[in-house]
Amino acid sequence: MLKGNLSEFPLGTLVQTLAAAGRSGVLVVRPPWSEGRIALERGSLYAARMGMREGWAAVELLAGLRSAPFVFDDQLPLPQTPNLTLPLETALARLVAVADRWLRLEHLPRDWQVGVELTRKSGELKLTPAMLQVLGLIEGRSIGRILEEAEAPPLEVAEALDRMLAEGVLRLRLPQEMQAEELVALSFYGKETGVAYVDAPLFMAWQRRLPQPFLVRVRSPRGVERLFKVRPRSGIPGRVMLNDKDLRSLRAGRGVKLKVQPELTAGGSQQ
Amino acid sequence: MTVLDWIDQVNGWVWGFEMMLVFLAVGLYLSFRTGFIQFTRFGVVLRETLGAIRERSLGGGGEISPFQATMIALGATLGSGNIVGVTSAILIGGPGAIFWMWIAALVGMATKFAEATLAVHYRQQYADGSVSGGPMYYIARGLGLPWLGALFAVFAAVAAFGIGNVVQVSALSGALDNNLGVPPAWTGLFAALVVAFVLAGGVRRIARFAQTLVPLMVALYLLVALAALVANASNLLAAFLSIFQSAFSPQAGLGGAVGTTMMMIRAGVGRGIFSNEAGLGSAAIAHAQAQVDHPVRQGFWGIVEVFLDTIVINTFTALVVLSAGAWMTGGLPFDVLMGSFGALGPIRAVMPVVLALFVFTTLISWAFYGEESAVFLLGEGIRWPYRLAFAVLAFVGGLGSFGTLVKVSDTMNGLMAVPNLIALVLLAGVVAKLTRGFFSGEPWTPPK
Repeated sequence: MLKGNLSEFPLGTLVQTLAAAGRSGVLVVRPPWSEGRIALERGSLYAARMGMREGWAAVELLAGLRSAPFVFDDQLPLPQTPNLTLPLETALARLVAVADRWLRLEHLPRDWQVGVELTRKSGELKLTPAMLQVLGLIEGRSIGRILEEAEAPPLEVAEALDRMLAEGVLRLRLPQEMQAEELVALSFYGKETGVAYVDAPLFMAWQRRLPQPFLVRVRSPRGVERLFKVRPRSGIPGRVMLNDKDLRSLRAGRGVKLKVQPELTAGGSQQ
Repeated sequence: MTVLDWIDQVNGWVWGFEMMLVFLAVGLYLSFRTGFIQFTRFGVVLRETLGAIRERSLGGGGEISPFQATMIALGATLGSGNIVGVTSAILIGGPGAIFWMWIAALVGMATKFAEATLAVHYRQQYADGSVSGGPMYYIARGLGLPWLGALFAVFAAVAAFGIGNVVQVSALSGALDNNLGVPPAWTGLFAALVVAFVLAGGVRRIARFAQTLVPLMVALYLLVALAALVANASNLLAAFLSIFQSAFSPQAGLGGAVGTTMMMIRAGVGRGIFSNEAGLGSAAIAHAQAQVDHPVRQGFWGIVEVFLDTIVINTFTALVVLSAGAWMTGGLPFDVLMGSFGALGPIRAVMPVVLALFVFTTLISWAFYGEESAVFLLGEGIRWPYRLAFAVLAFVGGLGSFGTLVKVSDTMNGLMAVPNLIALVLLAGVVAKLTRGFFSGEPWTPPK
């Protein structure tokens, strides 16, 4: 039995290794919200399934996972009917190409448990059929579910999502229970601007509940708002610490109550 | 030479002119090490303190808000020195003394900034969230000289009984007896009960008491002073100008005794130093209690404390006295003061009330200083016995003036400055480093 995580062994490398060894068995990938399987028979791709996706679509979807535990079990029985008929070399070449396309999606978060929601921004974006499918599925579904349930190929759906996130038509949705915190402004001085410090326990609570790096949107009572990088600092409960210059740009001052809400960054990195 | 003679000699030394020069020199040195923070960052200081006055606490250790800590400190600082003491300085040194008082206060701001900053930096934090701090802690922990810290604590604990207790209650009972016919025993009893009640609630109750009473008494006094200034408005500009004219004229005093420039400087600088207690270290005990994320932020309150005490309140007193002109005929300071408020007619009857408020806040704040010092020396077990002794002495203080005790405690109060000023000079580098760190946005790391 072979165990590991896709963050260490990307799917393409893993399948290539198993194929080269001529192994038979089932590769089970378990992201938190679902389960995917790729069956191999004597080193050839035999069948694949993930949620509602089957065949090559399931492989394509699994190739987009940046992190998930996997196990290859050669004792598990193979499905009765195969749904992958591509020659091995072709399949491996396509897998490499697919993985490359996934990597180019800069705005799609790494964690697919996050949901998306429509923003007020409509813009000039011309909607493709895949985009329309996405819009029909976003209500109450995570990105993982959308990718599984849409009719269009997963990568096409993912590219549609990525594009709409990039254009600001969609934004990542916070978990329901995460409301804006009302924190009292505290100023700090120095050259570092664009950073908000919050009390370390609050930062860690946010970090635990959010699946990926996040920024905070700070809104002053006068309605001015800005996005800030967020960092923890000990000993400032109930406070948000901003550079004095940033506070002024928000038309606020020390002691003013500011609404601070974490905001997931599309693309999974802090700006 | 008797013990009393010896105490007299030490008293003369610790409150003497040479010691004033030491105070000024230390203040100047600290101003230099902190980049003259009281001038260069005065806008920040105001924004961080009076501009944020509605805020409760800043987190971190400590049990009370920075504002409450400052009100405790201000409660001890504000006393008859701000009213009678300023009048006395004008009588001795002339109007120019006020100019020198300002100069001393400006320097003292850096001293108080350093005291408050170090008090928070080196305070002792306990598992229940409470803290203890003050010069005895920054001397012991910062300099690694516990014996010198203990010496400070001895001076403070003894001084609290005299100048923080008996002197205050005695002055109050005298004023109430003379003006309103209240028997001294009743004043003493009332003072003892108030002290016992407030002290029983610990630092939080002391803070609430100071937070309510100190701003009230400051507002009341400034209102009365403002009314007196309005009544003498025609003389106000001349009074203000006389401060500068007199400061640079060779002959300063115009009152009962003709003063010299030296006397003028001595009177003014003395008032500027001792009115706000910068350098004595007492206020640092209160500032140490503040809930702040960075010591420098509490240091700002130290600057404001001196500003309010000397630049605002003392200046109001000085302008009332100078614009009324009663000081020119000389006399006892209290009589001249009451004469200066004469234009207000019956309203000046408020003055004994203001004095009573000043006394009570001083009493409570000094009780806390004494208690914290005693705890440093003898441990937590001493809290209640000290509180009880303080309340009993408040009652006794109403019955007489207790000259010897007052003299001893006054000397002890002056001696507090010795270990404190030594520590301030030796720890100036720490203050400078903390200040630089604060203005670079660095978080504060308490010493191990």
